[in-house]
Amino acid sequence: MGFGAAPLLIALGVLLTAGIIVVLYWVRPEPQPVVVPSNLIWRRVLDERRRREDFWRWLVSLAIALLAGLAVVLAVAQPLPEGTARGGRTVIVMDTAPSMAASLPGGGTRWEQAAEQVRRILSGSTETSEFLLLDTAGDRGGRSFIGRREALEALEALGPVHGREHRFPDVADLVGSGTDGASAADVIFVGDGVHVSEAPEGVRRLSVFEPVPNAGITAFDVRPLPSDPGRFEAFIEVVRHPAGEEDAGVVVLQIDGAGGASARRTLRPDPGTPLGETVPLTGFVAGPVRAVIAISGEDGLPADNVAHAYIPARNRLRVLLAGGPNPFWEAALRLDPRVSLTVAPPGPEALADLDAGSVDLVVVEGAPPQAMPPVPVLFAGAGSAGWLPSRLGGEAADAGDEDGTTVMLPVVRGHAEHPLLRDLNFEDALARDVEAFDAASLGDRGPWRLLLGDSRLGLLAARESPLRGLAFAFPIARSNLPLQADFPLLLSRALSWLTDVEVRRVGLGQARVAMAAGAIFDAEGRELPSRRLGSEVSFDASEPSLYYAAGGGREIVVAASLLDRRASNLNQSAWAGEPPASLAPAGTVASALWPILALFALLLIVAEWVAFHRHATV
Amino acid sequence: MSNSNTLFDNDFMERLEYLKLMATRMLPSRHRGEHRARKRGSGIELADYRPYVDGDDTRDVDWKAFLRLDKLVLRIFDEEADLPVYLFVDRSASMAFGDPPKFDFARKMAGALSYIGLMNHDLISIVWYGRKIDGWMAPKRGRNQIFRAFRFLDAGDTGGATSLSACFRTFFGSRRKRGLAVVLSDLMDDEDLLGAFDACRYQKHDMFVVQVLTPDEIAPALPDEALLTDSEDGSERRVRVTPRLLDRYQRALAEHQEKIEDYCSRYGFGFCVANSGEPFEDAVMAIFKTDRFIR
Repeated sequence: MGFGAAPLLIALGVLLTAGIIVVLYWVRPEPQPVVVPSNLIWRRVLDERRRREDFWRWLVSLAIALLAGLAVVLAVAQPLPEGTARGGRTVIVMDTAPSMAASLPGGGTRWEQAAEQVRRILSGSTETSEFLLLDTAGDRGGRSFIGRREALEALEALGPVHGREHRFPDVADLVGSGTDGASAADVIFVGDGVHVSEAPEGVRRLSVFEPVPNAGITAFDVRPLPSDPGRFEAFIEVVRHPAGEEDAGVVVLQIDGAGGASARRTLRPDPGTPLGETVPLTGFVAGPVRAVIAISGEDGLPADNVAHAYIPARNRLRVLLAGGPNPFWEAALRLDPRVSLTVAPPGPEALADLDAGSVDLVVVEGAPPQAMPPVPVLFAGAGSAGWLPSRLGGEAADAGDEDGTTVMLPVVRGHAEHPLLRDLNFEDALARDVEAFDAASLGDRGPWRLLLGDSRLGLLAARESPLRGLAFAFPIARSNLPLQADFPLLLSRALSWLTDVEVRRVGLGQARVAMAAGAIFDAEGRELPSRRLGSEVSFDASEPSLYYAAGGGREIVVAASLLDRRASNLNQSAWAGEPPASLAPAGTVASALWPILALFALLLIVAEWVAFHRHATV
Repeated sequence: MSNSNTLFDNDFMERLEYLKLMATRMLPSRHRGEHRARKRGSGIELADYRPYVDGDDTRDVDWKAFLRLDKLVLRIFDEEADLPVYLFVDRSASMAFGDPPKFDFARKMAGALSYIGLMNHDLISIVWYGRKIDGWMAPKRGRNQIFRAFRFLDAGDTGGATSLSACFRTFFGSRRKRGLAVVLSDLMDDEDLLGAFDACRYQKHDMFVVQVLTPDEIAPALPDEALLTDSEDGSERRVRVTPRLLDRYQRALAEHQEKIEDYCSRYGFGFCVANSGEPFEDAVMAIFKTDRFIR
């Protein structure tokens, strides 16, 4: 058993109390003088008993008083059983991995149980104890040792964190070597061992792991049919993790969309094995899509039972073809039933009064406008402008074969799965009069991405922010690209990509949206706290839902879903064989020790008082 | 003598008349020296017969009985004696305690016994004693001596230590006619109390011991912490008064009394304890009831 108070103070307290009691017993009150006829009988009585009984009774009385005093001192000294904080420093590492949000069979969550453990440790400590509260997310814990009350407040600010790499923090400097008591600190790790199981030697683990059944959505995507960009299908992946023996549980999948559209499936995934399912979203229109799964019985993690997506397509596109009539563009654009095409006469006037409210997309063939249009733009041709990628000049521009005018259109490595190019084939595509973009100047951080070309020549570049754009380095009429079988698909995708509502899929946790300035709203339209991080806006997407980022004339739909196989597997704990930490930790006993001692002292004092007044003691 | 300024006032005298009446009923009174002596001998009242043995005085042979029975039978008479009564009244400092003081109580008892004795033509002597014999009234007989006895008792005062042993050795060292020694004292005598009684017993005196105690001595009422100062020798004892200690005191007092009582019982003496807080006549009557005051 240790004490919360300093040993020197305890020793001083004990000595002082004992000294005072002994002195008080020696300094007896002055007796009242009484003259009696004779001391003859008294002498006989006193001579017989004083040396024996009086001494022992005096001694017993003194012992009781000493014991009572000692109990009071020890109670004040805050006794602590072995294993609790003793007024020293304690580092508490909280596992804030997503699996800590798992519900427990007995009620509550792993996190709540872990927090309760820590609260009991804190409440069992002393006023002089210092704590450093850290979490496995690495950026929400404290930086220095704080008192018990501050630690309790800091604990309330913690919770399971999604979207972070969880690891045990570096506390090696804080763990005492055992030879330097002044700098030594106890380290306690409270977690479930699912995401973070390794801890340095000397760290005391408090496990809150208990196996719980769980089913979760680990993938959810809504994508247009390759053959028909106006129709969509959903791909969903479901996994089920039973708590004990394998069972034949079923998972009911429900997908709901805007306008009351819905689809329902009954899935039978093998335990622990993800099951993928493609669901045609027949009858679904543009708007939110939500997938919900349900299993019979308990489900450990509600967060992975829901996933969100968004169908971004527009039903009607107002396209302005600038630069005058162009049979290639006009023929290609009119193939898309969504397109409402307007052909503007040649000259810059057509783009001068361009209004985002009246035009959804502008197609420019020929000389580029010097300022980027306020709507998404599809540009083809030569010429330079500030908003376009820089071009290769002189001889470098004469890329291609011997006559220097014909080039192939290879897909840039790594972009084969780009939404514009996925599953398309342009191996036979050629282009002439190419004034190539300088591939080296595009860089990795610029607004443009090179989709077609090679390491030097940029033939097709896509811009994602702030407005989307697509730029061909050659006039479309000088290429056989429109003759390619996949060109209509490319154009249709380009129209969708350029004009569709921007949808971003994020995991739970802190989400970032590429938007220089804007506000974040939840599905109910309430503005959420957010902060700017350079050209991005960051906000807390802790719940699976749809969020909306709006600013600078743009609107981005953010679909936040957990979609994490590892997070859904709540039972893959390295501590699975260990018994969970008791909910009656030493701190409880510690906090109960001092009242026991105080009560003991009180009983002794009462006993001595009664004995004194009954003249049983002296 | 019968006034309110003295110990023996009218009220006292009235009580004496009551005691005299009671004593008359309890004590067979005849003439002078009417107390029957323990010694059988030369009196005129036939007490008993017994066979004659060699050496007996032939004058006591009942010749008429010899003629009738043809046996020598000796007549035994109660010896009618002029029985002296010696009243030893303790006047040590310890007798000044109590309300009324034990000394007054003892004096009243002595006065009552003197009155009854003188009324019965006994020979009464009164002795003040403390460390030694501090004064005494020579033996008096006759009813007209009662006020002399009262004056003697009224003039007494307390002070000094006690030594009954020294007193008896002094008193009975001189030749005294055998009689009844009545000791009125608290008997808080640290010296050889039983040795003193022996001195009386060896002189063939009869004895009656009256221990006069105050209610506080019988059941002390003391503060929790007390410094007890002996009124006679000034010795001090510090006590932490507890019920257990008081029990021990009571037991020690009882042992002290039992020792005296055992002695008296063994040798045919009378002993009684008088509480000075009670009426003195009750104590006198209690003495009479013991049937040991007079044989």
